[in-house]
Amino acid sequence: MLASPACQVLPPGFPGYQASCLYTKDPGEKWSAPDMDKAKQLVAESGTAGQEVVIISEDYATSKNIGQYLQSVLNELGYKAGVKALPRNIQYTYIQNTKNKMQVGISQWYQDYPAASDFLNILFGCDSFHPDSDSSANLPGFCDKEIDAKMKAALKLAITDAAGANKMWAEIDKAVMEKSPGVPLFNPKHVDFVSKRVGNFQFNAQFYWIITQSWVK
Amino acid sequence: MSEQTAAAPLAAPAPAAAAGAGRGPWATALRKLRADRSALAALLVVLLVVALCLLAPAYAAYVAKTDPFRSNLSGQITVAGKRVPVMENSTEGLGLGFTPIGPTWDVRAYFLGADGQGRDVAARLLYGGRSSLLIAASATALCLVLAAIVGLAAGFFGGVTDWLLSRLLDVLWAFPVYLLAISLSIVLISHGVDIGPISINAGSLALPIFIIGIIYVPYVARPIRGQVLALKQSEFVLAAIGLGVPSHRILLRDILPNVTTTLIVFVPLMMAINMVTESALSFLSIGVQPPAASWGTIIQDGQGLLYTRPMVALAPGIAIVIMVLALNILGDGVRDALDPRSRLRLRPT
Repeated sequence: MLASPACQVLPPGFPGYQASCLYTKDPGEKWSAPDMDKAKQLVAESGTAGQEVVIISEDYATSKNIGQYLQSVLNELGYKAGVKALPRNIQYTYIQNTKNKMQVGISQWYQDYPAASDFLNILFGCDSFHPDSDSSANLPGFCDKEIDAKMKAALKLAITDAAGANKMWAEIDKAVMEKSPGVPLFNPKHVDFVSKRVGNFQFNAQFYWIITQSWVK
Repeated sequence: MSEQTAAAPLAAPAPAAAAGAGRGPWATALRKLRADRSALAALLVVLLVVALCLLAPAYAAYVAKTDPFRSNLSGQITVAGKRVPVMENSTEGLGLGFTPIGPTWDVRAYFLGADGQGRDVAARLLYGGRSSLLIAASATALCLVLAAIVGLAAGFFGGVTDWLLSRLLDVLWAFPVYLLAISLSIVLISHGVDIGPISINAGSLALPIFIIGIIYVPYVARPIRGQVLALKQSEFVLAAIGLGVPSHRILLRDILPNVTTTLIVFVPLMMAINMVTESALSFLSIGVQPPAASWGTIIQDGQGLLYTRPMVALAPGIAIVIMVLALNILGDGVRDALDPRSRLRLRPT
């Protein structure tokens, strides 16, 4: 399979990752199935059924298809959803700027370096939210003081105790998902195809396949 | 004009010809058009496509029993008595992912197959035709109205009015049409249009209608202006001016009726051009917005399926070719029918 359903912010195998799936038919460590009945119940309780929702996607096939699929699901839940596909070079800045009043935006995030803070702190930290700016990586504008304080503590702890910090990040991951400011969709799999003649394949969490260390017979 | 036999050039006109001599220009034009078989065939094709597209809701609800705007990734249909998934496990290449079902050639279920979202392509094709035809027709109407206003004003009033309007047309004309359309679409697609009384929502079909209608105004306004300049020198107009008839009456009563035939000729031709432009903009994701369908968006949906399910892209492409060809042939027929110097042979009535 090329991807797996995502239940939390941190991807599997990432520092700080601890399997947890809150929003599925049988909550636990793994995703099981969608629970449309529960979702419809929550929509009814929220009183937002019938609301018009615009999903901002990029204009290439994958993003548009995700947008159309999301639109279909939201319509099934009782919303009036539409998709607006913006050119790639403006979509990301568009959804960051609060002036545009983005409701749902489709985006993706990859590590800059293998640390949980590169996901959680950048995407959901209070300091990452800049209203009216094209540069506000905290897309939902999420700012929970308690979670933010924990993030800062984890950042400090990581200097001396990486394992302890990763444990904190796992808790923060779960706490963020409980507040659900964002909806992780899937984790794509990184696949390296090599010939039988390739030897000394080395993989690094930062640089992936270190090609310079491999040889070919 | 009826043909007369060369053997009896001085013979009294036949009753049929005498009856034809009393016909007005519109009746004559209609007769010429009816005698043009290729134009009639083209008209029938256009009407057939329009009728099919108008029946899209009925087809989706009662024949195909599908919602062409709803993803159906885990759905199943019955083909030859067997239940099959709409999205099949891929057997191409590495065998990864899913491939939508191909054409079943059964009008009741996925006649042309499914797209990447598991939606019925045939139903979307008909709905897409509605959007494409609506945008093409509306943009044509907008373009002709604006072009007529600009062309009439520029040609009749002359002077500063003509200078200003002609320079405006020159500026519009200077931009490559598609570049201008793409630029306008990208700018307007995020926030829509809000200029004074004109307010268009970003996701509305009115936006591509507005853009396509505007960009082609110079192409129609210039010939109209030229025709008005010539008409302004005609005797009946000079007489009206000399008698002190107000300008607006001369424009409406004397000039506009004489340019109407030119505008009518432009209708099918501009519809064909506008249909292609709309398809191009929608293909680039800056025309019709998903999940609404147009032939252009369906071609884009099929782009990633060209090697596995080519029908997704081919079907709307063929539909566009058929419509544009039919409209161009019809346009030629209309032009020949409205041209008083036409040599089109008429069958005696």
